Amino acid sequence: MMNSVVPVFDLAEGGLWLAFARGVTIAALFSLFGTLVFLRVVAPRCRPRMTDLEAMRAWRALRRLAGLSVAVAIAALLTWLVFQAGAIADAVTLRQALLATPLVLTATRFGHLVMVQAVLLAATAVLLSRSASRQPHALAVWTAGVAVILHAGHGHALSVATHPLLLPASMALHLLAGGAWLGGLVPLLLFVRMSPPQTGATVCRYFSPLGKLCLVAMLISVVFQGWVLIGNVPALIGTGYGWVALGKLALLGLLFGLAVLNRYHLAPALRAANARSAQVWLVRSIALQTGFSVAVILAAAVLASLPPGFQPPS
Amino acid sequence: MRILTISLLLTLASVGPALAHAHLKNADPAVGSTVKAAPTAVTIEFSEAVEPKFSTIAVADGTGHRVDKDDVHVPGGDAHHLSVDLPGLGAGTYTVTWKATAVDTHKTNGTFTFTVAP
Repeated sequence: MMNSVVPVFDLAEGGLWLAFARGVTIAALFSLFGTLVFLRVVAPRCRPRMTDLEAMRAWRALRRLAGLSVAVAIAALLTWLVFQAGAIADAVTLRQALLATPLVLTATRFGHLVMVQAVLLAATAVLLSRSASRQPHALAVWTAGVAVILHAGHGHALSVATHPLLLPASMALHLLAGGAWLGGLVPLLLFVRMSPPQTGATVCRYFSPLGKLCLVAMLISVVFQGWVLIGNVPALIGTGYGWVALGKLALLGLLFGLAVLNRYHLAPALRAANARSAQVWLVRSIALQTGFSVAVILAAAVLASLPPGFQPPS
Repeated sequence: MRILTISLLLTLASVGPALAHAHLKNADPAVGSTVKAAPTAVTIEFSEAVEPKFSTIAVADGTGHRVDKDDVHVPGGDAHHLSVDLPGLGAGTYTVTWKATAVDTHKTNGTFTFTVAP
């Protein structure tokens, strides 16, 4: 009998559904944080190049996106809580999972973190609804950012024995950078699509430094986490965790490639004669990037559900 | 900058294996051991902190009858340890079955035996 070269993908109880619920929660958190960062950092710098009507339409679309993101984030967080409570309590039915939820919420670290995240998201929603001006309240960026950072506590960062401070810090940095960059892609897409080509070029120019900074932070944190959680080549190529990590790295490579294409080829073309055609291609490229971002986030959610590659012999 | 670089390199050099998930690290009585005096508790040390409300230790005698006091608790407030009290045990081999839910919500389980031979 031949040994399979495909490693075991030992997902935690709850399997793919639990990983999916975790992934949707991360995606919504990223979308919220990325949209708020975009609104505070990138959009104001493009305002002088926009007419009042263009600005009004763009800001309204982004504020709607932020509102939708916070609503989805709260709903996804609570759904994930029930799924996770069911998995922890070995529940077989939804009713059993719901009955286990209060105890999981009050008696586990996972539950405590979910409670704080839910409060922060609710505070963000209130701050967004009360912002009179176009700009969201600066505090909303902080509350959303802390909710993103706290997600580091749901993964392996606070569980492994080695590097009790550095690993959570690395994970928090990874999440913040991912949130600002990947979460900023949909706002970028909306801005480029809704603005005249010249303004779209300006948006890309101002989004680029943020993207570069986030990419560097993500790569540094990925290398460190890979070192700690995988540790060696056999664990990288011989475990399910290693395979998913490689897949995530490949997706990040594709994202990087598209970012380079956008910044140095398609965005400058917005100022050229065939600007409308370039705008269409840029919108398609950013949409593709957004799709890859969702895949990266789902891969991250699966990674958090798998035992790290570096495991002691059983 | 140089200090930062050296610190980072030293940190990376000191990276050891990441033992995520709660694996049995030590047990008292030890795994597979023979003890002369009957223990008053079974205590397990895990490689990471566990959730006591969702973790169990059960001790059964040679006939499979459960003999522990069903009072799983965290001794000394350290969530890396889990303990269950025992009544006065007679001579014989006992099987410890444990299930742990780590603080990262992942579950592990295992069994081991110890023997009381006064």
